[in-house]
Amino acid sequence: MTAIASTDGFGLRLGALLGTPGRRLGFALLAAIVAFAWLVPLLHGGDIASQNLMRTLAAPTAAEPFGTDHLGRSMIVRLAAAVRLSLGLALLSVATAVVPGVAVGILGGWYGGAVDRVFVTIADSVLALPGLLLVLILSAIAPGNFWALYVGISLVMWIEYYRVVRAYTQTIARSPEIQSSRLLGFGMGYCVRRHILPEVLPVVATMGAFGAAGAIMAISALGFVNIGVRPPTAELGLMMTELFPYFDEAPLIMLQPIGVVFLLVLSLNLIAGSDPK
Amino acid sequence: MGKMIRAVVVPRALQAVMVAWTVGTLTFVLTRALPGDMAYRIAAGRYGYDNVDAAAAAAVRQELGLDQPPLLAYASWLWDLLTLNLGRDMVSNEPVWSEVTHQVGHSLVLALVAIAFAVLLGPALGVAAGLRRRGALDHASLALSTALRSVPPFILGIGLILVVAVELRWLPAAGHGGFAHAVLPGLALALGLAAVSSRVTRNAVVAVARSPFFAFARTKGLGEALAFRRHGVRNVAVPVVSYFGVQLIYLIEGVVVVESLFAWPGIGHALVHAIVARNVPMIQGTALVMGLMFVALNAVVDGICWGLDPRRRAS
Amino acid sequence: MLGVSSEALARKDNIIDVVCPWEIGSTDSTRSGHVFRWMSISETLVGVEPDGAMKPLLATAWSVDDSRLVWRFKIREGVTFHNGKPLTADAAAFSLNAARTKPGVLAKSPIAEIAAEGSELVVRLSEPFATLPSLFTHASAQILEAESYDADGNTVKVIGTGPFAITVLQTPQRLAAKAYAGYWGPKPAAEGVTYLAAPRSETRTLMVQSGDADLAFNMDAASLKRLEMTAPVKGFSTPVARTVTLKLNAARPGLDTARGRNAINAAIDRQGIAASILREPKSVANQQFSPMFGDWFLEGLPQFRYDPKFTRAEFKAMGWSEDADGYLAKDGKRLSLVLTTFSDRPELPIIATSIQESLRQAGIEAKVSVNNASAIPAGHHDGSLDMGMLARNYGVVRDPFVVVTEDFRSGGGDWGAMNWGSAELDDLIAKMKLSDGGAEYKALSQRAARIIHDEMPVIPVAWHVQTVAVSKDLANFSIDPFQLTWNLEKVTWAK
Repeated sequence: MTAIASTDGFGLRLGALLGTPGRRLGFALLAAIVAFAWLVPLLHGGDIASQNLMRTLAAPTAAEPFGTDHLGRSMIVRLAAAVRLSLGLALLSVATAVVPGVAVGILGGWYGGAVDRVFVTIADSVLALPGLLLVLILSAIAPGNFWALYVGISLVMWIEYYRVVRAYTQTIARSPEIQSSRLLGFGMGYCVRRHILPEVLPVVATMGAFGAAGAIMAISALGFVNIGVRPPTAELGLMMTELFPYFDEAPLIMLQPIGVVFLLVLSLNLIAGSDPK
Repeated sequence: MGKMIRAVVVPRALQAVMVAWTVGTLTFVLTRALPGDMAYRIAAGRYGYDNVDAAAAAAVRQELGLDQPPLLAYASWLWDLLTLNLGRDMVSNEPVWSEVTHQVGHSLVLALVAIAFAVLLGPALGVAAGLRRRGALDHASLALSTALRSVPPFILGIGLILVVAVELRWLPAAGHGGFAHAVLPGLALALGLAAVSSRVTRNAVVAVARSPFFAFARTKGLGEALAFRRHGVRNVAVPVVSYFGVQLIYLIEGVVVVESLFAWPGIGHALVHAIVARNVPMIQGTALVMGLMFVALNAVVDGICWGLDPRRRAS
Repeated sequence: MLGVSSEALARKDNIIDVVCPWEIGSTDSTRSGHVFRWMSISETLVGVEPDGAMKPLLATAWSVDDSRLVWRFKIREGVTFHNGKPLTADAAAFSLNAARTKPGVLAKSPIAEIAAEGSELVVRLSEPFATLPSLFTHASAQILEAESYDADGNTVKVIGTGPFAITVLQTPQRLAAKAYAGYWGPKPAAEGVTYLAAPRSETRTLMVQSGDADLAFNMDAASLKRLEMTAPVKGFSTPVARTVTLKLNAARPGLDTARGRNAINAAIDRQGIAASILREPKSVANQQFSPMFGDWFLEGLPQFRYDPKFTRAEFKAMGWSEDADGYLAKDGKRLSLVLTTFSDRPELPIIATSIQESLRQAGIEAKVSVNNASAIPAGHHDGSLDMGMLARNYGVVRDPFVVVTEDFRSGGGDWGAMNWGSAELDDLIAKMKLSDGGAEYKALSQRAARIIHDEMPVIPVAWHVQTVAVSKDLANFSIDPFQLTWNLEKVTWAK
């Protein structure tokens, strides 16, 4: 493992973006996966649903470099689509959670008072319901819909950003630099840009990477218990369930979605920093 | 004691109320979102499809207040929840409450086994790695923790069954009945927890080992082990225990998938089933109890932190 | 895969451990009685031979009087329930009368009264019903002791007469039973049996591999093949009285004519499904009822053709045209149907996905919805169902007549035709009810099967083959094709 250097320093602050070897490895891995997911449809073409029952579980060939699944569907096309789905949904959820989380966190931390207390109460109560439960109930309301997954994941995630950003803002707002900025007549906007965001954004980036990793795990878990998206959609957890019976016949086919989830989550964990914060 | 109630019990009790409200509201929306005539569907689920007629549907409509205006219906739905009137399981026709109380015991056993394994594995490894910072064990534990955190719990579960039950035949693969049955699902949950807690422990140990009070204890002439036991354990325990609190989410979520894989008759398994079957009373009952279980476990963690950390009691 | 586990591993105990996908929904015998029958805990008055003939079980003989309205069943002597009480005609009548108050085959039958007269059980009918004894083979007609029931007639305990007596019953997942010393028949070789519901097929497969299960039901063909290679297990597959069908809503445009339904039928790749998904060539269906239903099986029919181009051409000939995406459309509305199915039977969603693709080639858009089994009857009742994929058991009570009546009479049934009817078929059903069997009955049922075949209100996709992974520790395992019992009392230990 090359991620050792990032273990130093217990605080939340991290160095430059590509600081450590672990991070660099993470970014390289993620870039490779992204390239795979978005280049396959351009270079290989093909359809996630088109079957060939006479050529099922075929070994890799030049035409089908990853082989075919139990219905003779192209594995490379399905894997690429599954990555686009999982990663896209995860990044979208993170982005949706970050914006309100950071904004409300800064407001709450800066002004305090009644507004802050209202948000703290909301955050505490939403956090009391484990995220997967929320996603499960939402997907019962709208089975097979992406928005249930998306809303559920984002709804739980924004709280983390909110809490951390609020704590940072509170500390920074009381710091001598801010006090002197305010004495000089600079407004809140300036202080946020100049003092708060530079402190907060690296932390949010780390949390975002962890959050995306968690979201990918959650989506695959839902696919695995057959709640979430429906066939013939290519989804990594669903693909694992579908391919499990063919484990002995075609172990390499079965291991593909598992390997992809592992690499995807690993790359995000490495980017976030190897140690949990 | 009064202080502890204010600091620990009251906020968690408020959370419990919020959980009940959220679950109640979502399941209320769920009953309204189901396609077709709601009374008919609920009656069909309850009495069997062959036995549904207008009278049965009317009885359900009356009982659940389905012809009330939405706001009133919502209020009576929440009132039923508040009075723990969870209704009957639409599939088995048993009272939801008795089914859920039966299942929650199984889930708690599983959660406790998982926590026990995680406490045995994670912190021990973390202390060992932290005391020899940048040693071989530190590096190995980092690599292992990073890898383990990247594997979904259900894949860990399948892997454990393949190795321990199928190859070695040491433990039963799935099912329930004795302690042996709880080991593998417990371990599948514990590995993820231990992966994280070992690194939290390690970092806390490193921080303590660098602290002036620890250095002072060493210069006082205490051996490393003794110094750590006297001055280190409590300081390491606080972040580790509170981190377990954060990780309970992982545990509760993991329970859903792991129970389903191991045919473990807990609430996670029941919840997945209820969702597939659109068994609304059971969805409400199981989700409610899981949410409350999460709050209760968090309250326990709060209490332990309270006991461990004198500074919290003072403030 | 990990290497082959040692076959020399000793058997853990003398208990037969069964793992199934089906949960024990309730203790009530009218809802979950089939599980207690399967596990040889309870018994019925009448049994079924493997060839479908009825045999004495708790009733030793039966007869009907000349009015064809009064049936007499002689109750077996020397039988005791698991609580030690003797089986009497009174006890049997009590049990059947309790079952009759619940929805099920008994409630729907023309039974007017069930009473005990000495050692005989007397059943009075409101109209002649030739197949009455076959009703008493059904699991909901199992005989339980009076103590099993609460004041409302619900079964709260299961006190039967079978070779195994329940020791643990944890709905919905687990059941354990031990051999009952007072059993009237030959003693079973096993000391006990256990039942575990594990809905995930992965779990069942792994339990067989680890030796935790001796019998695992509903293994998909791929897992079974793999288990035979890697575990001390034999695959057991037997054709059963079940047909995988595609239920059509005959009120939908495109599905509202026999020609349209037959055109859709031509878009189903049965050979491909049999070869790749079911992996059982015998499962290719060429009609609704498999050869095991002699009276209903139409001899000499060819295989269905598979030709999506023909489907497309047929629809075009009926006035449909292609839209911009190549799908068939009429009056600006695309031929788009939701295919509802469920995952209790692991092969159904896979077959549905496969049919979705071949329909697409024919220009028909199908959206697969993997739902709970109850979605199909629910969609039938509220009219929202387009197509449903299911596995229909035509042998619920030995002769498909009861099921045919339910499924194909005008208007259709929950698991059968939908918004379809045939006056001629309704007439045939009325005649068959009065028929005594024999050649007359066969002629009527052949004609009924022919109407269903030509009109195609329900498309037969495959004949079901029940698959079980059986541990090599066991010998003499068999199940009857009607899946009423698994004959666990006849299973012995190998060597």
